[in-house]
Amino acid sequence: MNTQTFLEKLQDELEEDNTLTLETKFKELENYDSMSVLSLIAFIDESFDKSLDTKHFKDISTVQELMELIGSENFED
Amino acid sequence: MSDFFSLQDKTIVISGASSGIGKSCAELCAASGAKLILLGRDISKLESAFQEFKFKEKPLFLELDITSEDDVNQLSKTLIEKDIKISGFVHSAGLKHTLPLKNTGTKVLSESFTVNVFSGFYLARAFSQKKIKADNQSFVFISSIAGVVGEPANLAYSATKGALISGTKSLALELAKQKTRVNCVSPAMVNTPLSEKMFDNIGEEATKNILDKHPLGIGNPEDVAKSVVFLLSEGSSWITGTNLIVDGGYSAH
Repeated sequence: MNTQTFLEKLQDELEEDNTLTLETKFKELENYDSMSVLSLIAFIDESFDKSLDTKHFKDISTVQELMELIGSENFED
Repeated sequence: MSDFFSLQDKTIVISGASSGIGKSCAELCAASGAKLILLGRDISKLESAFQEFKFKEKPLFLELDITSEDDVNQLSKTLIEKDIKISGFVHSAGLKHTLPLKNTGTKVLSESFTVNVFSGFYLARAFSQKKIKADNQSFVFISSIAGVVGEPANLAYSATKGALISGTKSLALELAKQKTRVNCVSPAMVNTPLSEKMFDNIGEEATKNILDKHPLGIGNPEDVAKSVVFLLSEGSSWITGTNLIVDGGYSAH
């Protein structure tokens, strides 16, 4: 998946009106809550076949950090 | 006084016996004198779960996919051939997805209903046949407090557990004339592999919230199994169609 597609899918998943960037901080998003984390876990599992749990989300704050957690090998660019 | 809570001379079938509540039910039923037939998808996992447990009479371990009607029909044939009469059945097999509504689609719903509900009803149908049922019979479905009260991110699981509670009532009425009692047990949180996985998923804060809601603390599988043994025994001979809530006070709020 390329980064742009990922950002768009992530925005869709989080139901955010504003475009996301690598620097976007999850906790500053309007709709971000514990349900969002569960939703992201399911999204990452489906898209990358990678199982995360909520503990992983405690240590990340930005989209960039989430991508690092998913692994650079999963991104084409 | 006779021992109303003994399961002596009763043959009890348990699904989902390899871990958690199902495993505890198997151990307590055996300790109460029952002969056991334990069902599992993976017989080696099932047998190794009981390696440490000393059975007076070794259970019959049967490998089958309880979500397959063909497999369950085959089980019926085997029981008839061996002339085994079933006195009790505990449906403890179950799975849980902790997901928000937006991630709950056909796959999650279908898998949840197939394992948690449909397989239990296939097995109940098999064991209620005249050629298989013992004179008095008791079925116990392991539901959940989530089938009674709501929890966020728990749509599929709570819907399946509610289905067991309502299905139980209809089955109880339909099978009463053949002396088959049908009941549910609805536990709140107990320490099982399923709950540990869930605690990992939902994080510390949500976990603490759940713990705080149990006045008697989180339960152990044996706490639930004791109620199951009661419902399987003659001690509950006038009880059918109920949902016995075993929740450490969770739903008293």
